[in-house]
Amino acid sequence: MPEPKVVGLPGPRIKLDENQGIRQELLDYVSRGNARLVLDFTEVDFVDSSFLGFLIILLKRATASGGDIRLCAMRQPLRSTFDLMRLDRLFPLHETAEEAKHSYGG
Amino acid sequence: MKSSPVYSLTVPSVSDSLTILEDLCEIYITAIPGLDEDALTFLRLSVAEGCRNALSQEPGPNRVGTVGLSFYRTRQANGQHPLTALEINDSGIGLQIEGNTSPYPREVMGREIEFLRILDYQIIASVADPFMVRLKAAPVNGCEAPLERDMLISSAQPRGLGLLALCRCWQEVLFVHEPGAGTTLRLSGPVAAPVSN
Repeated sequence: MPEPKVVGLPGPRIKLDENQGIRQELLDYVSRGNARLVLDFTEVDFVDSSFLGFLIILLKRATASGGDIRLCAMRQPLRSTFDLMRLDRLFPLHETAEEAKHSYGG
Repeated sequence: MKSSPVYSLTVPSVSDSLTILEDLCEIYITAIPGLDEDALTFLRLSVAEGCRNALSQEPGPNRVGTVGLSFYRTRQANGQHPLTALEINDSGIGLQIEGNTSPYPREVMGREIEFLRILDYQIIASVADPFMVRLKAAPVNGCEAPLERDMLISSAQPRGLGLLALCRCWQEVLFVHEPGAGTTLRLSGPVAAPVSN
């Protein structure tokens, strides 16, 4: 299995229609199969629902091809937004990128 | 009786002007006294989601698309900080309920209808009158039973997250259509921790 890839999301505010570059980068990565992705929210204070909806699409594609997506470093109050949208049910959350990478195992 | 807004702005319904609208609202939001970080986030989210929804609406024939946003402050009887309410008006025709737009026919009125299902929650619509829809969020099957992650992933859809967030952080979420004047999303009730159902 490939080494988990850590992607630091550009902050402080992410809206999907303003971040087409990162969108394509992430889609390209998961399309390779067996993608083990860690998204780092250290720089992010706010995310709109369109980007979070995109993460769902990304997760479905990743898991369909044997991979997964973990999230890390999501601070309050962004974490509250995440919980409001019930996304804590879909995405494992970790404190740090190292912890998220480690959670994938060997 | 409805009070006058303390802050109100209407802009063309295009992406650039909505960005400016959100930035101006941010100035106002951060100046509201008595709000904690979560409440500030919920207001920002509401403005962003309301504007996104408005941007997707098609204006009626011979109309220029506009988005209007108004903040209201209502006093509490117990003397605590005033509550904030928010209205976002767009040029669209409102929500479609079982294939019907406003004025809603009698057959969709007076009952609760599942409008959207998002993960383990559902958004329920009730048509109060021919021009108004009330939305609320509730756990599917009435309880927050844990669901397998695999099941959630397979059923998950990217739509509806913003609306779910609005229904969970406002006490009242209404879509009111006024022929010739567009549709207003009315958000009221304490901006606080998620409304539990």
